[in-house]
Amino acid sequence: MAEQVILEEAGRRLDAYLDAVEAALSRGGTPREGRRAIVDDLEAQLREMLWTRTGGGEATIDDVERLLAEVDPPSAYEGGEGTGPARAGGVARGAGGRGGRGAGVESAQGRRGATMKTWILVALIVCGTVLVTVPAVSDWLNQRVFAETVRARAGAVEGFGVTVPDGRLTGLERFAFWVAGGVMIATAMAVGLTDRAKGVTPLPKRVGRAITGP
Amino acid sequence: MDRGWSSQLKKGAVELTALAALRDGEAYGYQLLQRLAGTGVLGTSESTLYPVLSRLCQEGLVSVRQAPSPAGPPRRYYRLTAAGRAHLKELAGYWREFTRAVDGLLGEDGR
Repeated sequence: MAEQVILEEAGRRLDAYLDAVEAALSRGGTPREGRRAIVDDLEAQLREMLWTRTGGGEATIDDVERLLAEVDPPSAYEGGEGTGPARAGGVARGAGGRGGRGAGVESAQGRRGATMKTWILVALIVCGTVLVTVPAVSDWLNQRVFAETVRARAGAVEGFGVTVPDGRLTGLERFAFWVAGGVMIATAMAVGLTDRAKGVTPLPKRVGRAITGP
Repeated sequence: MDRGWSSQLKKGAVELTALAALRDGEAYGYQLLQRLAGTGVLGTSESTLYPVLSRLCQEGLVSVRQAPSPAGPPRRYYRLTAAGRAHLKELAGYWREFTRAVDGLLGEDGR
């Protein structure tokens, strides 16, 4: 039997919901194998509900949004086993059924903490990159402006045993910038890769991939 | 009816009700949700049931097999194992004691 056609936008919405559920399970401490099983069951349920409601025809973004409005929010999976809502009416039945959405437990604090952590990692990478490039930028500026200015001033007293500064960073200063910047970047990458291995990606996938790689 | 209390009661009993719903034959996740909803009182949500099923599987109380579905991804069919049947019997025994004790406190007229 041919599989149901789900329009691209609808498919992305469904995938985003399932990814959010998996992330919530991860934050709740569910091991990877358990998360896979739960998300697989959930996906099979959602696809079957879509199938029933559309008669096996094309599923649109509106179909998916209506469906997701009836099931538990991703945050309901965060508190661990048995902490999700038990709806009084039970599961939605058939095409016309409305099971009533459970209250859900928003763990805003947990979500904010994870998001803040990722933005800190982003800031570390940006600052580290800036520090690493400071010596090169300094050289460039020195060549363009600074050396001329300093030499013009120093020229007035040259010949009296005054050392003319050339505005360049010393070797030690360069090394310090490189080390500081490198440590920041390496720390951010290590933490980001570790989180990704745990399946925690509080930011959109494309940002997570930009930080930690595919 | 205090929905908070009844909700907590259902969540506390979901392991027993899930195992009992599987006693007469295997079922996949959504089907199990519908079986429980069909009782009129024991309906629960997917975020409550699926983590419990996952744990029961890890503990060896239920086994799982995958089968194709016309609606999309394969269905995961759950079935009680021998250990699961023994565990269900134990839970059922405790449940009967529990309800007997509560009924005793409530008395004949429920007061």
